[in-house]
Amino acid sequence: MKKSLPLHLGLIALLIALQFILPVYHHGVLARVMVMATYAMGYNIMFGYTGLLSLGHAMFFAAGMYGMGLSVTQLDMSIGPAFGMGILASLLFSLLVGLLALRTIGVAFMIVTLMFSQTIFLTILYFGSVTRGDEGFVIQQSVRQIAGLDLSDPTIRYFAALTLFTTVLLGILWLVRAPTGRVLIAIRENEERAKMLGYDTWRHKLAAVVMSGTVSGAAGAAYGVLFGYVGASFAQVPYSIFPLLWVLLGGAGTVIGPFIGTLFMFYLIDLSSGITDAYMLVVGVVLVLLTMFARNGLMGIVRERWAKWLP
Amino acid sequence: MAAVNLLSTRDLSRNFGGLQAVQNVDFDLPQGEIRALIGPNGAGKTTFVSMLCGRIPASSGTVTFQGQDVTTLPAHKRISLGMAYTFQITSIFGNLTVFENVALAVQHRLGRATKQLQTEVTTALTRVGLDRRADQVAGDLAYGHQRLLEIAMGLGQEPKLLILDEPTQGLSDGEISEFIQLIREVSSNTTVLLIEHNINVVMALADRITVLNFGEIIAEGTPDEIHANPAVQAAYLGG
Amino acid sequence: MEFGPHLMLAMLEGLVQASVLTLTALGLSLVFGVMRVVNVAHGEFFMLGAVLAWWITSMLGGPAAVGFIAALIVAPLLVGLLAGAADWLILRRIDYDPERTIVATIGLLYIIQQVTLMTYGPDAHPVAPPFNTRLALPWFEWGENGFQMYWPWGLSTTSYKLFVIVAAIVTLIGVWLLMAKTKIGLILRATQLDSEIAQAFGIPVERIYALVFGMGAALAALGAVLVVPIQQAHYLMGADPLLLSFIVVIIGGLGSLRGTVVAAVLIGMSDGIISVFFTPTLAKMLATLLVAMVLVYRPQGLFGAKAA
Repeated sequence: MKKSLPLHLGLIALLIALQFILPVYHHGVLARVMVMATYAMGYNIMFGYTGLLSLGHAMFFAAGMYGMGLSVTQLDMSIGPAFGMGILASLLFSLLVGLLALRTIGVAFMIVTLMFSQTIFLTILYFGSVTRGDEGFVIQQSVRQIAGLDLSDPTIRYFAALTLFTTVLLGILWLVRAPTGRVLIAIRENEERAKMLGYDTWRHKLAAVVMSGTVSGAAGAAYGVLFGYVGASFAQVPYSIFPLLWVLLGGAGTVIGPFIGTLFMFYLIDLSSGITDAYMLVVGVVLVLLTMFARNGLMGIVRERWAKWLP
Repeated sequence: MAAVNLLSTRDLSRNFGGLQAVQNVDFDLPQGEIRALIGPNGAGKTTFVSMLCGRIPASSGTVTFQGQDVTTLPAHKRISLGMAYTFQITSIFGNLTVFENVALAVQHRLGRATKQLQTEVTTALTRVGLDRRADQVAGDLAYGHQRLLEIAMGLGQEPKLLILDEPTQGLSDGEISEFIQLIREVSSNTTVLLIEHNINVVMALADRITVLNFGEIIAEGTPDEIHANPAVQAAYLGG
Repeated sequence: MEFGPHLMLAMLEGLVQASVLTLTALGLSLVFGVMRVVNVAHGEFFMLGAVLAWWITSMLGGPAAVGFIAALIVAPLLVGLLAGAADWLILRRIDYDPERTIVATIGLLYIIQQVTLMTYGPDAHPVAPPFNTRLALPWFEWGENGFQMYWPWGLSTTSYKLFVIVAAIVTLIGVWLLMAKTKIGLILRATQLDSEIAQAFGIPVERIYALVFGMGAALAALGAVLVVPIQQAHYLMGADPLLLSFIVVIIGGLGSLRGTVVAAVLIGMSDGIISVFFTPTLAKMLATLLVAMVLVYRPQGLFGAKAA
């Protein structure tokens, strides 16, 4: 803890400082990165720390996003309670998914999560009269006000995203040190052994799914709040692949890895979309190279070579 | 003074498809005893103890622990009641350190990572002689040391019943002597059930011996009685 | 159109889709059965078959039938070779580890898809069928003089669609004969049962895997070539076949060829029918939900062997 807390607080401080140093364009990008990195950190709870590979996390992101969005458009809620509804929706939804999906393991688990996610996406399309389907809907600027602050203002938005990011980052830092976190890691390493030490591994895995889904949903709700748009594209397969990509690249099973991975890929894709329409090619190449040569990701390599204490 | 039975089975059986691995075994283990379970390869010893700790479910029969019927209880609940099992094929957390391995065993009992955890882990590691290797990655240990780590994890749980599945396999002679010493100490407040192939260890430690062959108990008694038992000799020689 | 004829039309359309789906799903099932890995890029091999068919027919010009026959032979071959190379270069290096293979094939999916976008472009292009005569179909009605046959307007199919169904059946029989009656089929089945023992018997397991991976892709490509005169070739057309093949293989039982065929017919037909009477979205929604629930409550599918 002696080295890791300063490191992570240092990152927060850096992000605060960057707001004042960087040109305005990057404020928007970094705000997006921080929200998506939160999503990636949520994914990391299940994948990096518990060893459960989900191919359908977009459903949690979307649950939060639509939970928030529909509360605004259908229930006329103000933005604060709507955000809360988004979190509640993703919490309940991840509980349901966990109860069903955890009856499977390995490849079957991956496929089940993929299938549930597809079902959610198709459901959003099917009830297009309410959800506006593929087109999505906008959260008006007039709604995105809280405590007198206009969340669409780039600076406010940046710090709102940073607040979310910081909360989750510190939360995960605490989790991996806490007894529950240690058990999740034990489950990832050798589930049968964990059982034979007396741990109810199913209950711990369910907790991991719920925590992961709720954090991912919070990121989804936050994205809708901060960028004012709710759409079905966020429930599609690419948005399930992205967190896997970001976490693998940055280093699964590290606290700071998801952020590094997200940041790197955002700028890499930004760069490539300037060159070609087929910028997703970069995603494909990176995934193949990662899984062949660098399974532990950037922070994983750092941890192995230089900093064994990195959480 | 009649000893209380810590563990009992009645009619315990397990079949895999057509193969009857364990057949109608009635077994009683009094508290405080060191019992050795021996038998030729394939006799069903690991299957039997796996049913005791809940690793595999029984096909029929009952298991009673501390007077409670645990037959349908899942493994993690039985462990929580006070059983500990060390694997025949080493099953540790290879990517974690030696310390963290035992810490996980102790943590379940103590509930929170505390100062006491630190002391208890160190104690367990010292008893098996791994205290100097506490920061080593468990997967990097020599095979024999990994077996000792398994035992340390079992000790860390401070169980009422310690089930050891071929614990001395891969240990050097010196380590085996230390192991015998350790189990003698441990047995003062723990009941021990020991699957062993090493006859010296069995003779040195066991209060009583149960002999299994083809899934059935063919003999039970003191080391001397078993040594002289013709059925046992036939089982081992007849194969 | 009345309900009866409408249903028959839907069933015919479903049968055509089922034929293509059977071939595609068979490819996926073969790969899983022998290699025990899930190929997420399978849909892209399908798409490549269609795109290559367009490319070959445009390049050759001339009568549609000539180009089509060339495509029917060459496209699956090329796709199979590409898949075999991908297996040799990538999957072999990651030891066919299930989790890593899924990640790697996701990467492969994007690579194939995006390269196609860069070369073939974002538009859909049609391929002309080799023959396409309209065949009106009869329906029966209870009239004054007993059963009478009549030809409802709109109830028709084409000779090409019937050809697709026949071609699929012929290919199925061919694959079955290959697996059951030939030496190579024996080797494949042996490798599926126990790859370690197969290796001990001198079977070059890694080469067999490359062959199987190639065969699986070639089957998908073949299905795509058959369907492309009916649909069009588009760089995103791999997504639906992938999803449906997944559904078929899981419900039919991973690794069970017979189960795959039965499930493909069932799913192809119901997808076709629900799509006609309701919407394609609802059909897919129900299908994905069904797959998930089957996996959750009966992991071995409908025909697969239960794990001990």
